Amino acid sequence: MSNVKVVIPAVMASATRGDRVIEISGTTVAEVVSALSARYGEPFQRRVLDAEGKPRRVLNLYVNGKNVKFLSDLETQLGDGDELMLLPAVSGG
Amino acid sequence: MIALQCRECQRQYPTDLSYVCEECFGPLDVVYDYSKLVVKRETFEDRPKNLWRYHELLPIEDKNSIVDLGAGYTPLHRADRLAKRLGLQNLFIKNDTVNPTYSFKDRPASVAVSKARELGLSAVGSPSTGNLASATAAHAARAGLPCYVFIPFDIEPAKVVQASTYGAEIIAINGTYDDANKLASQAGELYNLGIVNGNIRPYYVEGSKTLAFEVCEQLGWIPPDHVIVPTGSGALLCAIRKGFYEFERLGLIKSNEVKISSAQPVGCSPIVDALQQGRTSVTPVERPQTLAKSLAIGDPGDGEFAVKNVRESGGFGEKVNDEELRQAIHLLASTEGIFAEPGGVVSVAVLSKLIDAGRIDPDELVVCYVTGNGLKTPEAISIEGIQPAVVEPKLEVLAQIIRR
Repeated sequence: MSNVKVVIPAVMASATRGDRVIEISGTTVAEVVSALSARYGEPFQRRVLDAEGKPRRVLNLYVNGKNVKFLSDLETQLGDGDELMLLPAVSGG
Repeated sequence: MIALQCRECQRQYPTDLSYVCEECFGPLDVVYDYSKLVVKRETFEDRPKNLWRYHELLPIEDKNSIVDLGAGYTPLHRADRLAKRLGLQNLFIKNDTVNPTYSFKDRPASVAVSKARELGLSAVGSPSTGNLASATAAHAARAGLPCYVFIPFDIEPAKVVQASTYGAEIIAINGTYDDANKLASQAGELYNLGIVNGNIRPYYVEGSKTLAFEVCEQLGWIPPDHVIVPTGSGALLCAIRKGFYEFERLGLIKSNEVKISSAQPVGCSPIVDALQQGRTSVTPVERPQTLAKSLAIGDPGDGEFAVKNVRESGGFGEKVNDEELRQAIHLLASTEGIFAEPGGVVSVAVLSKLIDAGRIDPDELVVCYVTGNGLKTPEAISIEGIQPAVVEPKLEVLAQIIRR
């Protein structure tokens, strides 16, 4: 298992009981999201994952600054010290 | 304006610096109590010819907050020569190349910087593919606010010069627009910046719906049959649909059956691809490659909402390549006297393609939104062939040139 740092912006901290920087273990994004769901329960899970267990379209996940949509989505591998960041998916050109 | 409302779960919030629903992380939109808004066609008659003529439908509470450079109420240009060339009878160009900083982005930037002032923010910024950088910077200058713009390093030089001259701090990112967007979002939170298309986005997008209001008013309060919208993030397209909806809801137009078509460049067409392939989901483009750099948004924030709006309206999605964009720049300039940038003229290029495909009836009343000025992207046009030969100032040389 890799030790990963998860960064949550203020506008999304409602899902993590206010926690903004979280140390957690997992070897893929899916494992880390699953561990976060276990720690923070349904309020985290329903905000981050859709009914099929995929990340919801309203947010983006970044591993070391790179959008996981351009890596391997939930199957993106994580190593020790990697950073997983959540951000709202908004843009206006 | 009564509230911000989540587009996904409809939960409402006060009209402050919120942009994401706490409950479901959906984007927030401004909602109004239409039943309490008393506006008639005559309400607007004697007002200034800029977007603030529709202030009842814009999200600013105190008129003293308004930061105005005169954006909006741009010409709706009857394009008979272009129409004849394309085989149409009723074609108009909504010429947003003539806004204060020469793109439609002055509309949302004017609203967003006004809101930043109303909310008491001390600095603003934006990630941008180029045009929003200048629009934000100019309105920030007018408001006396510091401005930070985040751009991909490879946007057109004229756009960097322009934004920089208004006094903005230019942060050129070694990456794409999506990288710039991510960094700006983090900076907004860390430094308490009003990111016009980030944490002020719900207010910002309201400015763009005036492109629908004006077209209705300029056509004598009759909506067009079909509009074609250059599409990057999808925000403009969604705002235009909201504008037509609001005018119908308020009884200012009788019906709203406007078909809305999305125009994107080949090389960055995630929304058009979803439309053409019958998908509801949008597959992002990691490395956009297109002459239309202002539309090079690979992961469009409003992509799926734009797809839904086009489908519901009965419109289409179509894309064009760089050469078709260059041809459209020349065609629009040489038939109608309007000089547009590639991202702004993509609507005209797509119109031509939709006509060829038999998707537009010759008698439809069509409006092409042309959203950015050609002087911002001189390098987009092939320089060879337009450099004039230098001649002696003698009358006899003209015999070779003026053949009549």
